[in-house]
Amino acid sequence: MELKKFKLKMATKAVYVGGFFVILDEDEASSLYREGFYGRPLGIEKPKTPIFRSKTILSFYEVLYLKSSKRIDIIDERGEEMSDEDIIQEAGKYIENFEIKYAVYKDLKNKGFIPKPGMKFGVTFLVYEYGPGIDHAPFLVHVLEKKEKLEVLEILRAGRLSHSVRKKLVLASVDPSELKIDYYMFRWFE
Amino acid sequence: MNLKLIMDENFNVKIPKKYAARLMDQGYGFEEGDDLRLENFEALYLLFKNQASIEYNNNDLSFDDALKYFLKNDRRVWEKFLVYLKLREKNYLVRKGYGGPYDFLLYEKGSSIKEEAAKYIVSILHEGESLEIEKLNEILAFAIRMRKTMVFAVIDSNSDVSFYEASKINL
Repeated sequence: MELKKFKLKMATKAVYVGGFFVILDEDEASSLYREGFYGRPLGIEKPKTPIFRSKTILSFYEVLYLKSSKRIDIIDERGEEMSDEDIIQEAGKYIENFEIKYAVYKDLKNKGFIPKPGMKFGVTFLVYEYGPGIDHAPFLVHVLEKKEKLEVLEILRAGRLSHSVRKKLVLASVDPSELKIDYYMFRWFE
Repeated sequence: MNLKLIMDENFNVKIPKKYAARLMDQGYGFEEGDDLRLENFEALYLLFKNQASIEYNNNDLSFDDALKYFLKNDRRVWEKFLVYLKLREKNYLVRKGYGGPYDFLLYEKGSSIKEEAAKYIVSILHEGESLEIEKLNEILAFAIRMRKTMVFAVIDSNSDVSFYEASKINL
């Protein structure tokens, strides 16, 4: 009995609702946020403290990452469990080159960073060293596939963007065959 | 004082070294016997700034004519001039680069060309152009081997030039 309860506590449940993953249990949502700033609390734009009472929305990246470490289980609308493959397939409907971007997400996580969606800045990830609300100088990471040509406009954008929002912009180039990642930085020079 | 540069039949521009001490200090040209041979973009710059005249067949060349002649030798002379002008106006000491994509060498401001090595390599790119990541890798690796920092000079459709420092990093 005790064991079963313990097991239930290990993996948090998230529900997949057409493009979004929601953690309905507010305690578990808050606890997952405390663990690694996973999820975005509903109705709280920038949590000042990691202790809150709210449901959270997880990104595809977070879900796949947490799922592969068996930290969460995903239940779809019909109450059926989703596999990693199901999640990757779904992600592909919403995110172009998901697997390449996920490789960068995983690499950043493994290096101890906290990547969050960077759409607001027109890039793939906004990356924190300590966590949102703690460090105020996150950097931007934009993911490209290695075979892609780097449009010079991309360099311009990188330099200008980092200049105007005063955030470092890093381009991550991924070789899809071995998921090898190279990082490049462009900075405005005078 | 206005310098007198001389262009030969191959559109190469020279000045006797005895008149060119200041130019040499400022990083212009390279020595060729008793002469200092100038790059076409350097000659254009001096002409543009009214610091020199260019004599060809006993006539002084206008800026337009000089440009026309120089274009025969180098189709990229205009863009090199644009970037060179911008760098000189920012008070950098600039020299011709290693060729290929390595257009210029740039010295830290206030440094002496005789005593110090260049700190940056500048490569010109056009706004609409694209750069293969493999190529970017190659360029950055070359800069590291030369112990210099890579800077891209990007020319937009209005001929405006912006500079971006690029590096490969480990996160």
